[in-house]
Amino acid sequence: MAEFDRRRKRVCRFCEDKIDTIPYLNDRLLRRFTNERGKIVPRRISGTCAFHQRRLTNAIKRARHLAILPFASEVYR
Amino acid sequence: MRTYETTFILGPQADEATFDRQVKAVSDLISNHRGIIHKEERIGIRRLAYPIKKYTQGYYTRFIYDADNSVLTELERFFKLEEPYIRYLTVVCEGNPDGMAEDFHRSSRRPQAVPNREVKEKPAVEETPAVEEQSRPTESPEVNAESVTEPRSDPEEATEEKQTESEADSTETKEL
Repeated sequence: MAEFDRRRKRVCRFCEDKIDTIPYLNDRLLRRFTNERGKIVPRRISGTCAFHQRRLTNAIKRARHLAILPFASEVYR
Repeated sequence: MRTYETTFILGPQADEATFDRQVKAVSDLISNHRGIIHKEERIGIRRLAYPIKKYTQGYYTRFIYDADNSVLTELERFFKLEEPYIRYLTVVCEGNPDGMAEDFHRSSRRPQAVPNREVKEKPAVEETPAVEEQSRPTESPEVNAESVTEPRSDPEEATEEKQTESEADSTETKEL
C-alpha cells in the first residue's frame, strides 16, 4: 500500500529538470512520453504536471510533423 | 522582428555539396529579406519515422533567426516550389535559442556528463526486457524491508531505491 501511494506521487520530470521549452527534435526524450503505438501517454500515468503536459503535447505533435516521431507505429499498421 | 526557428528536411539522395547549396539557398533567402541568422544547425541524415515522398531518410537542418513575418510567406512559397525540400516547420522561438539547441544535442547523441536523471533512465528505454527481469526481483525485497520499518540512515540506500522504482515505473508505462 505504501508502495502504491508513493508511485502515485511521481513528480513532473520537466519541473524537476527545470525545462520549460521542450525540445521537439529530441526523440529520445519524447519517446519516453509515447507508448509503443505512438500515442501520447496521459499525465495521470506519466506524472507530468498540467503546464508541462500542454507543452509536451505540442512538442510531440511538432515532432510528428517532422517525422521524428511516428503518428502510429509500423508494427500495428 | 521576431525570432523564428525553421527546421526542414531534404531528400537524402545527394552529396554534401548539393546539401550545402540547398541549405545556402534558404539562408540566402532569409538574409535577403533583412533577416539575421543566429544559428545554422546541420543535424544531418536521419531516419524518418514514417516515409515521406517514398524516402526513408532525410537531411535535417535548422535555422534560428530574427526576421519579419513577410519572410515566412516567402520561405513557405520557396519550400513548396522546390523539389528537394520534403518537409519544413517554422515556429516562434521560445526562450533562449542556444539553450534549446543544447538540449537537443544533449540527448539525441549519447549522454556524457549530464544530469544523473538522463543516465538513470537510459537502460529502461533501450533494453526493456532485461531491466524488467532485474528490477522486479530486487524491488520486492526492498519494499519488504521497508515495511518492517528498518531505519534508513545512509543516504546511498535511499537513492538506490528511488532509482529502481523509477525504472520499474517507466517499464510499466511502456507496457500500457
